[in-house]
Amino acid sequence: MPTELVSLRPNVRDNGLMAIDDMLCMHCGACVGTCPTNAIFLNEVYLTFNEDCTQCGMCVKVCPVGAIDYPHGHKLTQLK
Amino acid sequence: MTLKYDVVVVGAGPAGSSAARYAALGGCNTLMIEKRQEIGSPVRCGEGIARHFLDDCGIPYENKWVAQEVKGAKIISPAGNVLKIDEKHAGNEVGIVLERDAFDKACAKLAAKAGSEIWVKTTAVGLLKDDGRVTGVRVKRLEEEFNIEADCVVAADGYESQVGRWAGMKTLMKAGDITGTLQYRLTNIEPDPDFPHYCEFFLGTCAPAGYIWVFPKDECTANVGLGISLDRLKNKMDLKMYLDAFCKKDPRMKRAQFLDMVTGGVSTCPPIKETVRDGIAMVGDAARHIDPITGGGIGNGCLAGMILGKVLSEIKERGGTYSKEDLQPYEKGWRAELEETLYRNWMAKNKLVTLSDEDFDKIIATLSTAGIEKLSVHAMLKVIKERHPDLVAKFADMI
Repeated sequence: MPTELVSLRPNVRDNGLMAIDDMLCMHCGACVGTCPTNAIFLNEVYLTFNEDCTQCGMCVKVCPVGAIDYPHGHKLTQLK
Repeated sequence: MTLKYDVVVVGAGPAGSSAARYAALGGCNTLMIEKRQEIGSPVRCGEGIARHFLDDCGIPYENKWVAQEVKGAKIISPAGNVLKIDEKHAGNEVGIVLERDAFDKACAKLAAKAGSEIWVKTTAVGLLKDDGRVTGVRVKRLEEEFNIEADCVVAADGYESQVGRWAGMKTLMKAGDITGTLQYRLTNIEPDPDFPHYCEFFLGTCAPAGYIWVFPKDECTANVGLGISLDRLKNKMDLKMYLDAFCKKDPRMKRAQFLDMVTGGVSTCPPIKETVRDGIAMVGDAARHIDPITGGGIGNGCLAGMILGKVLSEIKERGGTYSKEDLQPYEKGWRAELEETLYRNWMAKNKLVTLSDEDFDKIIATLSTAGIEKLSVHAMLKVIKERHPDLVAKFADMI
């Protein structure tokens, strides 16, 4: 019997600059302090990127839980 | 709605609490704000601190924030050579393993007792400025957003500090001076003659340009974490890959289970150029007061916070204006206490990250037979110079 997945909680927010997986993010701020252009905003509930983002990728590497990725369609993205 | 305080501290970590406490003790009308709903939680720390900092900063010892007291540090090379160092000489992270959430609350209590107001769930969303001078903060507290005027704003908002950046201070770091960290709190760890009596540090390629730590919390629980320099991380989730590989290899952790997972960023940069401007001062992680070799910052933060708090009280007492000049005693004060060590350790770190696994094996083997008294960079280099002149060529300019 094949198993069918009947619901999927959308958890990746992709604003075209960067994609954030809200279910993984621990709100630790490692990316915020690392960002060279101060483009990341963090509060207790979510993380956002603004237009100052240069897609340098420092946040992707520093994120200890892999919650940040390049946006959909970017050549370095690991998103399916 | 507009409020007015002498001092507003942004961030209720140990550094912020320490600054608020000593400012309030000196008669400043002080407010400390914290964005989280609970001070000290979630923990973002390896939780090690040297005992002497508690005396230095006047923090009375309390059992409730002590998880484990250790005898010293064990430094372990890739091949398994061990260097044991007595707690007194083992640097600023070894001595007490804290319950950091309780410790932060205890620090905040001391601030409250001294007369400081504390608000939680209050986020600083902007700085108020008048002709280049900081005059207060704009905060969001639950659903309200309003201005708080302050003669001096203290930026104690941690690694991700925004307040200092808003004031125009340069806190950016190069990739080589940023360390990404990941820590598991594991329980059901198998006994070992030295566990839980030592803080362990594993060097080498298990954590490139960083180290893995095992800090015992009780007889079967430990904080197992690692820090790796950002310029050595190639892909996302590299940190997890290295830590999982370590846990799999260590026989004590065969049946270990998770209690907690902690992440964060740590600065391992040289001391920054300026920490005060008109009406604002930075302290703790925000001011990059972290030791670049160990990544430890609790003690340095408390110490710098205390210096700042005392300076703020002095300014209040003589009716000063909290201008950049008025705040210079703080700038000079923390530099006198910390700057040389921070700079020296940053230089040493830059050399250490170039060493290979074989180099570490040789160095640890040498040091463990030499019986060095104190784990100072200088003492170590002297021993290595005597036995392995080839290795020390890299450090020649530091001796």
